[in-house]
Amino acid sequence: MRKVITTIFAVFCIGISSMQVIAQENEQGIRTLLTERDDQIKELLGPEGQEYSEEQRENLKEIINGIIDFEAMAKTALADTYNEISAESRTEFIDLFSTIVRDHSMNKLEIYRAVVTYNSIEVEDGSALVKTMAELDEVRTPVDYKMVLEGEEWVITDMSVDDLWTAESYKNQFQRIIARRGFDALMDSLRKRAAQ
Amino acid sequence: MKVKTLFFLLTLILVSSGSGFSQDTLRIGFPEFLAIALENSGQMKVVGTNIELAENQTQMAKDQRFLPSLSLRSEHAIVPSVDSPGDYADDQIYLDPDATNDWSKVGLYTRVRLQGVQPVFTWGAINKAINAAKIAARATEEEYNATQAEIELILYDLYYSYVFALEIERLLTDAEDKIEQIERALEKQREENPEEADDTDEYKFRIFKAQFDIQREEVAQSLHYVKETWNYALRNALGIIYEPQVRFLDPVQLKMEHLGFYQKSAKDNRPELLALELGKEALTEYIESLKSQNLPGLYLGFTTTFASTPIRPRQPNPFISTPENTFNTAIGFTIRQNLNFFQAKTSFERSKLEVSRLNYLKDSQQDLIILEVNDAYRKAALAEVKVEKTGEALQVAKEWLRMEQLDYDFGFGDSKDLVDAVRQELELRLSEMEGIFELNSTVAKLNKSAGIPLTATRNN
Repeated sequence: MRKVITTIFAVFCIGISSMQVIAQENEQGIRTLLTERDDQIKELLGPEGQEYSEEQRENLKEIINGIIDFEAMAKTALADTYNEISAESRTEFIDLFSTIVRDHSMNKLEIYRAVVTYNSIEVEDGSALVKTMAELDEVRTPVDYKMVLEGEEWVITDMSVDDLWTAESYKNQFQRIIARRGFDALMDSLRKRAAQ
Repeated sequence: MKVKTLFFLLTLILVSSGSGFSQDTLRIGFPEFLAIALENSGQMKVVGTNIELAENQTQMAKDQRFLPSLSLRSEHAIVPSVDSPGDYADDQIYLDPDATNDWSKVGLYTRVRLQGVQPVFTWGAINKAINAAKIAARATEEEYNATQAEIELILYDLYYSYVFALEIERLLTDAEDKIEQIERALEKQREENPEEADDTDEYKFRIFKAQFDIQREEVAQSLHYVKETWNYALRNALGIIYEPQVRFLDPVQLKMEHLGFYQKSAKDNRPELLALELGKEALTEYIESLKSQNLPGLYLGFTTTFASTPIRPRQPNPFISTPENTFNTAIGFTIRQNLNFFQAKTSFERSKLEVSRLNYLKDSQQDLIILEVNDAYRKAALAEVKVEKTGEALQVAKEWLRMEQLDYDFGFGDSKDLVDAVRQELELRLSEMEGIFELNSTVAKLNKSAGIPLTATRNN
């Protein structure tokens, strides 16, 4: 009996320690992923005050948004309505939404020059909350990420700048528009916004 | 000549303008700022001298242990020689009844006297006086600590005032961008949809902009004032401009204890109370010293006299005094007893009254300190809640502004709401920063009131 208890205890300990090892590996993986992305963006940005060609802007846009899961983000932004619309509308919505977010990410390229400090990376059950502080020109802005493990890769499902979550903010806005003017009105305005 | 003068003037202008550019900006942390400002503080120099005086007093008391009375006296005069008509030998002149002073010959008379007293046994009067002086010196050190704590608190506020002003300046710069965005949006709206443009929005926006400009000027003035005060506190060396190393104002990471903790800490650690306690102790020891001084004391005394006048011969007869040529020495014990008992009694009474006065003073000081702690605690607790709640309100304002911006982006927005949101968010950001400054300042005051070192307040 004692042997059985000892064995269970040993297995439990091994299980705990191996979970800790996996969590640490995940933390390290996320940190490396975000740091490499940050380095790549900074390298592409080049020196301060530089003008960018269309190709450079596309490259930047790809790297900045490359690890964002727009489908998950769009799903959050649309909340319950996401399950109520047709597959076609969903596809269009995701496409428009990602275009808007992608374009928005290119509005102020200078902010990507900020020095990033990783405050914490909390990993739990295949999802992670990353808290960072970006500092540029003596202005600090908290930038946080919600991430999930998709297959073997971590992707961003929402990001917060200055304590405001992107998908959550859109969700509030979209819900109000849907409630007041309906889903079609939302899609119309999204189409207009994406075309700008 | 004119060319030379012109060349000289140009060189002078260039050198003077060059010296203006050569000023270096040095960012300093709070400990360095504190060290320099304290070193420059006239008040600290005054209390520092008090410590030196107290140490000097202790040394004086210690010096009483060894030869408290030692004197060396020399006397010099011109004296006549002696004329012995009977032609007696030099060592027998006293036998000549006709011997007289001979003023035709004069010589130098020199006498040296050495006298000293060494206490042997005084019932501990000297040691008690030394102890009293030592304790009094420690009391002076506590007074020094009290003054330092006061000045440190002022300097803490001054250092972080600079950081606070920088934060507000950056906030306003950020807000300026937002205001410009709104202005552009309003203009665009007026151009594209003049029929939808609302004059009320325009007036509201213009009022807001004017109020913002006032705020901007207020911040500029306060930053200027803080810089001037910094320069004064640091007495900037030529060519150096000091700036705070800390660039961001964060709330102190300190969990506030219950009020009783601070009250007890104040009673145990406030330097003012410690100084009064030590003062009382020093006075009690001084009274003991006075008591001992009124008991008979045993002393060792000695005296040596040597006189020489080469022109007048020394007479060996012991019955003939010849003070011009003499050498004698004496050593012996002496007992001293003060007999001014009434004066001594009055002196004891006076000292006892002083002790009572110090007791009352300590009680009253303690009452004031407890009131100070209670007030500081109330303010710190309130500031903590204020920061927390302003943070919550700011989060709501950020969400509101974000919503208005998105609405505006998507063509559903109302410029009036956007202006309101920007104003509300800016006001709350300013309030939050003010709240953080106030919290840090009140926590520093609370710690100071409880006798806790200022280092416990700093978190950056």
